[in-house]
Amino acid sequence: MRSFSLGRLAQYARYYYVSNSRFIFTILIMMTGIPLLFGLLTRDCNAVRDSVVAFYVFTAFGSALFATTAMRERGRKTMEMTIPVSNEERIVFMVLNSALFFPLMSMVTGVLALVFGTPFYYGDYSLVQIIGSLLKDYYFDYPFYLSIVLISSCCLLINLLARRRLFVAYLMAFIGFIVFCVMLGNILENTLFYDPEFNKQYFFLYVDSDKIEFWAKVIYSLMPILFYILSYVALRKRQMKW
Amino acid sequence: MITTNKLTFGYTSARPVLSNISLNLQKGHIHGLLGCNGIGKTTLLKLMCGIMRPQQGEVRVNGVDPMKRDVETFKELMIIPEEFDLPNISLEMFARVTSPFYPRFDMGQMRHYCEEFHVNPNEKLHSMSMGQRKKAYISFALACNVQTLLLDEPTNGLDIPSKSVFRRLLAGYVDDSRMVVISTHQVADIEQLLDNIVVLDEQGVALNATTAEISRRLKFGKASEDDKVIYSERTLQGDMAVMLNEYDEDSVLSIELLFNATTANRHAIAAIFNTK
Repeated sequence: MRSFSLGRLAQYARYYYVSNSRFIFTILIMMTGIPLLFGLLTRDCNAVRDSVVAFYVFTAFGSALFATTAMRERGRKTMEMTIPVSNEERIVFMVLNSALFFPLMSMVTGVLALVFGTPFYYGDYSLVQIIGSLLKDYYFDYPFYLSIVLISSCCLLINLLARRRLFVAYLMAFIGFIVFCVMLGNILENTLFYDPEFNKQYFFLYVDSDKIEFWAKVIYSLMPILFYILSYVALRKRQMKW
Repeated sequence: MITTNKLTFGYTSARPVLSNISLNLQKGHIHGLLGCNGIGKTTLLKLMCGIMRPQQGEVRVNGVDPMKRDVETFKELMIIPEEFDLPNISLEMFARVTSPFYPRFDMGQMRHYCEEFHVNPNEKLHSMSMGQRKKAYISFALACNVQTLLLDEPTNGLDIPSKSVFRRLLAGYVDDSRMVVISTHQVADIEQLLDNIVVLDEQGVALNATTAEISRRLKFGKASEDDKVIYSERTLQGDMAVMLNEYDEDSVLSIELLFNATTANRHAIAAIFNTK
């Protein structure tokens, strides 16, 4: 396929990481340093772990912004948009960057922050256990990772659609998401998961939690894909207006 | 080759910046894009490299619509914007990560250009002055050896010796397979370089002619009583005029005078060069 080359994708990734090395390095320092500061202030290993998780969620919101900054900045956008890279290569890089690179970096810096903070912690704790729970409950927990990917894919779409007033766009998307959740919840409760047999017996609405969990997983897994496809369409259609 | 056909563009649909621009810029030339402030020169360059969508009409770069972002087209197209921000790495490092996109990039050539401009390619780009950074970027762009090079106000921020180095390097850059389009206000800096001149005004293309054709049809200098004067202005050297060259006389083309003549007496110039 002429419009997609793995070699060019690797070249673009190299170009991106080297060009933004200072910025990425600053983010990584922050991701290690701020949890460490929490450790120093609270002397509590769990507080460090919680701040690491908070940064993990932050990467979900921030990664898409970092990937599209060059396309938005006045001094860089013309150069960025004329680099010989196809839309397909660009979107694949953005997806890999936001869904893999930043979560991975968050994990590495999180573990480093927990380890470097050892001299500050007070009381009984097991570092291995806390790191283990951090990895198991968050980084290697599929539903949690899926939530991170879902947020970052949605943010990528917002970043590609909104040229300016990004904060307003984020706010609108957040409100839209809440409305969507409430509506979806209502629809599912009143139609799909309503169990008539059960309700005949007990005279109240019953929600089948197994069915909800199943459908939630399906919807959660499909939504990032949908957002990435929409992001690709947005990149193709809107980049000329940037 | 760049062609535009009835190109119309505006940042709002009510007020077009460019309207009905039809051009055919051939390879092997250095094209000068001239016009008053806000007339749309930079916008036209951006349309040429596909980072803006025309409201009407079309642009083609070597027969391809640049908005399709075809990789092969962009391997042969580069723009140096008037304002740009390079990453905070050395030019050498920047070239190492960017040059793989441009198949004819030559690192030796870039180092040579840097030497000519007195720019240290190993110095961090953010620690350079604006002029140094511009020279560094020009060195990189020229070493990419692309077929189509678009330059927006390239001499802004360059010191006098650097302007002359720039002229020399650019003159050596163009051959039959390459073209350069320069948008500028500083016509004096590149006067000797241009071999095709495009003047834009509110109504579209006021003039599009080669310097040879301009010299054949017009003459520049002090007018005598017999001359058919199209435009004249008072200068320190006396009254300088743009006149019809009825007897194929030689004169030194003054682009500034030509530009002023075109804006002041558009219809006369358009009639001479058959510009619509």
